[in-house]
Amino acid sequence: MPWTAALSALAASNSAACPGPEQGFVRLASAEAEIAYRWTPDELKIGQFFGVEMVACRLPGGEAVDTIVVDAQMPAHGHGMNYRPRSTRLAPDRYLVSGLMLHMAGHWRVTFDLFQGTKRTRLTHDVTLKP
Amino acid sequence: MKRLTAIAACLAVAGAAVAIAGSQGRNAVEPAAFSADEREAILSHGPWPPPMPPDPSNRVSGNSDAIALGRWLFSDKRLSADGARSCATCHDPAKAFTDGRDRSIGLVRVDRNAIALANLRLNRWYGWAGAADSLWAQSIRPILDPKEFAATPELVRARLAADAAIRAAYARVFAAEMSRDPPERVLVNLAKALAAYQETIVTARTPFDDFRDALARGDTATLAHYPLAAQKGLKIFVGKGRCTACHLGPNFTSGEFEDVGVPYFVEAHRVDAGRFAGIAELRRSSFSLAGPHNDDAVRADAAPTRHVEQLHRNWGEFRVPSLRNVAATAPYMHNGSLATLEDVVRHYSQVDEERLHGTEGQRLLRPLHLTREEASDLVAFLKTLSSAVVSQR
Amino acid sequence: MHVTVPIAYHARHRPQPGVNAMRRVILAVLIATLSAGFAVADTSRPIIDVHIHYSHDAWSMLPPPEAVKVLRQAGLKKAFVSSSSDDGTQMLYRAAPDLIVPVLRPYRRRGETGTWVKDPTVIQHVEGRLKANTYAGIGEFHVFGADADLPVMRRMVELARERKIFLHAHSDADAVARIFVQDPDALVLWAHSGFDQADKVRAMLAKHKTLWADLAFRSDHAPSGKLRPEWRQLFLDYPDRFMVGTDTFTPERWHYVVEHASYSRQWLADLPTDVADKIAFGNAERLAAAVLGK
Ligand code: HEC
Ligand code: HEC
Ligand SMILES: [Cu+2]
Ligand SMILES: [Zn+2]
Repeated sequence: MPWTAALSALAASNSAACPGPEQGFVRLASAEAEIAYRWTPDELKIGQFFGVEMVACRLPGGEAVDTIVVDAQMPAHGHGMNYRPRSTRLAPDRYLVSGLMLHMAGHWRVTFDLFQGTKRTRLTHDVTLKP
Repeated sequence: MKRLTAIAACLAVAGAAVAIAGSQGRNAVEPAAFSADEREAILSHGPWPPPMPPDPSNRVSGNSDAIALGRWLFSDKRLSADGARSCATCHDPAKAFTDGRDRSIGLVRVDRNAIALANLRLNRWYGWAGAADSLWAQSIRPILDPKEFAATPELVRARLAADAAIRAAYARVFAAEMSRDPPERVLVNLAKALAAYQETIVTARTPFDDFRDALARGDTATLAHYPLAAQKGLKIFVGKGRCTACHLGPNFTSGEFEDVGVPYFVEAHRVDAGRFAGIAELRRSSFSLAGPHNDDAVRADAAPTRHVEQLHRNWGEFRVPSLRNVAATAPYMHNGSLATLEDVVRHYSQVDEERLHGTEGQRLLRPLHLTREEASDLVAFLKTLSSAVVSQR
Repeated sequence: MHVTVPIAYHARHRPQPGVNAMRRVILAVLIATLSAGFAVADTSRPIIDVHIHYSHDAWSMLPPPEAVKVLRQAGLKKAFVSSSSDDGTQMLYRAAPDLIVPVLRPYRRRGETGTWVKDPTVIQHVEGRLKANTYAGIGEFHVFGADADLPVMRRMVELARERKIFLHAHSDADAVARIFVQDPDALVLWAHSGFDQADKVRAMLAKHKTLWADLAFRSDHAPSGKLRPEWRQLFLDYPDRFMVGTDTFTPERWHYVVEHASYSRQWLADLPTDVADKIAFGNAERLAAAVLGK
């Protein structure tokens, strides 16, 4: 029954339905929070612009997210991206971020900063790009 | 067009075979001498040529009438206010579409080295500072630049509309009457024809490309044709030299901007601000892909323009140049300050770390302290990236 | 077009009367348009730049009188200068004592960034200089993590305490915390605010009452000249603790001082005037006056 599935997904999170691998989403969780995200297009390549759709599934406290900032750094090289992503809110706790571009091969740390007022919760995901 | 490329490729291969006939043989490195990571990095520099589809922002990209008009305009001195120079003055087809000078000379000496024109469809940004986001927008810059052609849209239209042949070509390509189009539209259209022509300038396959493809195929017989010194230089390039970090992919560039510690004073009290100034110019320009002259209704290629962010580190950053055909495009760097490839390799070997703000900036570049032999191997490798420049039509 | 999108977005989300918001949008767009151009030096708001280096390779390209001219052209009220070697700072100070606030960099030449803290001869050098000249602080030096507890660094903290001057530390939060363990009353100017996020900087400022933070070489607090909301709130909550600076780590970067001052004025304009003035020059002026005993 699709509606029961939807219902249990809703119950599992306090703020939004948390999509899973069926819809191409990856879950990312810390002690404080959990998000689901998917890249668009789904394969990351050097020098190619991409976006990310992100759903905030579990957050500290009750409030919704008011902004998210997605960024990426190369820790070993000491630099970030040359472009600034912009986020659009698709629904409460659901965002589409566009304008990311990773310009070198190697290890990138993608950060998702979720703001509830000035409270920031960070989730990070490491990506290694092939040359 | 396909046939021409093929002929050029054959010529390049033949030339390479002759060039290395004396140096190859028993001492050639077997492919096994490259680690899996090195192999992967080497393969990432090909295959060549990559696809170069038409430019969606330019409705006459790939149009043969536009290419013919553009080729004509490229050496037409009427585009310059004093009628003394054309594009070909600084981008001479006989000199790999550059001028061989350190800094070019227009009405006065300009601040930068003329970039060799080739494989331009692969660029994300144009010019050393990326002040233009399309080939046609870049082609407008020298026309209006007071130091180069010092022309105006009105002057260009008046001069060229007086020529019946150009008027006819314009009508054929743009389905419009040149003298009735507003001057700015005429300028943009002519720049789009210039772009259509310049897109056809591509570099042929090189000895490196044959080596790379042979490595992909596991064709050891062909691999052995690639000189040992070049193989050792390649190992440095993808390995401890970390050159591939910036000079990446089939065109040997990330297409982005970096500071590799080249001083950027133009004269005592003036610096070339590089990428910082490039972004400022891009934002001021009415010819950017975000503006009204982009022919692509969905502006698919405008993402870099929309998202580019001006950062403190952009001050003194320059575009990572392609290394295809690099042996033919001396002198080097944005200001032509290094005369030879040996000088460039020495620069990387002794790079001044303090200039690079190591703690919060560039951590990629460290003085490599190459031995004399390593340096000459690296140069030998760079020289295998050359071939005849071919205009495909 | 590039700048209007985020500005309009922010305006919509700020709880303000519509007209006021609109006026802000227009003003912001105007400022953005102006400063996107080159060196449109709107010098209306004075600035004290607390992160200037005048190192040896700058001396020939930009002799002291020229260097002073650059700083004045940028509309600087004062500049905190530290150099490798300190001779650069002294030359500049002699050329314009009203403008230059001398800070003693422990490096005798460039290239000591990573080694100085393990080199005991640095102590003698610093002590000698402190006796010979007047300084507002010791720095900018680089020290991270547990290295802040090494003898050379401990001596720097003692010397700063003896002379009641500040330490300009390019450090992570850990090293700054260790300095405060050594001297809970140390005066610390935290270079680049440690390149930390707003909430981390907030926690440090809350914990250490004599910590100031400079914003040199960062623009993440105000991308495209527009303040991020969490930084705006931080500046409002700690208006007395921030300063601005360029970081002239190559001679060419001296020509960026003007541009950097315009950038600072641009985002400062998004703060209430009194807060903006404090960050632009007030905080630096008070710190300099306090340590130099004026
Ligand atoms: C006075 C010499 C001079 C003339 C004349 C000149 N150029 Fe250039 N060209 C340069 C220099 C110098 C650069 C680098 C410019 C920069 O960094 O902004 C350049 C860059 C370019 C580029 C960028 C290539 C790349 O890979 O980014 C293109 C395209 C170009 N020129 C086309 C033209 C066209 C078309 C004309 C004629 C309308 C022309 N040029 C006339 C000197 C010249
Ligand atoms: C951090 C990125 C980066 C790395 C790593 C790097 N380069 Fe470069 N390279 C650049 C940039 C940027 C320029 C142009 C600099 C300028 O004009 O000021 C350049 C210029 C060059 C040029 C001159 C090309 C021309 O047409 O002027 C050559 C040759 C070159 N690099 C080779 C190398 C080699 C060999 C290595 C490895 C030892 C290397 N590069 C590593 C970014 C890089
Ligand atoms: Cu990197
Ligand atoms: Zn610093």
